[in-house]
Amino acid sequence: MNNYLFIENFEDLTNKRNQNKNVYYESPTKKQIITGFFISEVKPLIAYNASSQKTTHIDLYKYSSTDNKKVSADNLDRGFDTTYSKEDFFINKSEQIQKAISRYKKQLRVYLQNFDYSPENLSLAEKKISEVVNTFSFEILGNILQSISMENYDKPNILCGICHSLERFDLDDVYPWGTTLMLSILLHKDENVKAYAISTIDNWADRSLLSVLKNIDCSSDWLKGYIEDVISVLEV
Amino acid sequence: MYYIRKLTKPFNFNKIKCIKSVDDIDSDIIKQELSTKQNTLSFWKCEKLEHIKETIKAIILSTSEISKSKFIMLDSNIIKEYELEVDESNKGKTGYKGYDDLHIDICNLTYKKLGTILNAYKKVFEDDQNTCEYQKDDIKELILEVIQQGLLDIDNLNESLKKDIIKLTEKNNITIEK
Repeated sequence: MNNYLFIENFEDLTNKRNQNKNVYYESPTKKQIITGFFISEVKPLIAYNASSQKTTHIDLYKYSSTDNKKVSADNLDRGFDTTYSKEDFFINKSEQIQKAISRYKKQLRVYLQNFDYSPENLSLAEKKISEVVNTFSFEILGNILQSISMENYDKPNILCGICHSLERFDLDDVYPWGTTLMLSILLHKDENVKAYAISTIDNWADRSLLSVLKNIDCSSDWLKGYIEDVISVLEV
Repeated sequence: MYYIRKLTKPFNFNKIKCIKSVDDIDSDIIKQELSTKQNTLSFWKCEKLEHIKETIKAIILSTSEISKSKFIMLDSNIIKEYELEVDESNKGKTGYKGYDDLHIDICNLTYKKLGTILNAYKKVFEDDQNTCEYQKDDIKELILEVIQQGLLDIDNLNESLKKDIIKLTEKNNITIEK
């Protein structure tokens, strides 16, 4: 079975090609959009980067898995199984994505631990979050943040950092995982952590979250006052 | 004359208001709300409250994100009462063209004077009339107003705010004039 590649960007493609990795593609006589590859009928082959929405000409070769010899694009139809469907790419793509997610999660966890409360500077965590969204999707971001949150629930700084980083997004962008994440963080015993989650909900300003705000358990007068302030604005 | 500053976190208003004595305030609040540079604290002035929108625009275009914002307004009587020194010589960095001279510094700050400012905050917060609040959508509207007036200085924006504003203009099919 050929090795599939998940190409993050064109540099990645060039690097992998230079490393003599096997690359799978559909027959050049068929057009197929493959998670970022658009292989045209006309040579040279064209790769399409779904993130940047740019195309570029590339030379794409198949390396035989038996003798590792380079097979030119012209010969690729011969003895070549072209029955793989688009879904087959997604199966292997998910392995690649999992590796990338794991890498981002590791980096993000470190940055969130050093979450900077200073309003002047965009924290490294927020920059990394933007990168995840631009490279992958909000759904992947949700996957990463939920995982970090569960594994670090005993670290208030990380939870506050997650909440603060999500304030800049609209609820539409992060729904439904965003609300689920805030609900889980609201259960934390540290009322500062709760306040950060409420602040994120406040920024989303969605009336559907009123029932959540009205049922938060807290003891501090300041937090009760803050929740009342947020509710009074949402109820208008 | 009013001197206006954005709170880092709106809930710090509640924390400062509810505490019995500022002596017991969390040290994180001092870092978040009274973070000084060269012993100065930035504020933005507003001659009359009828023109407060202009000052608010200058402030929000000097920050790093579009988010719900709460502001404290210290009037000149408070500045006098607490013997705070004001320096108007430094222009602020804001993406609101022509309004960088609204910036002022409360200067020559010491440990004692920071405590004084915190007490001033507490006094002001006990009277809600000297604070104002803008929801995230209101902030977006103010930014769009600035853009439509042709007064956005995109080169003077914080990088992350710039990205948020570009996203906002794309959503609203607006072009930023350079």
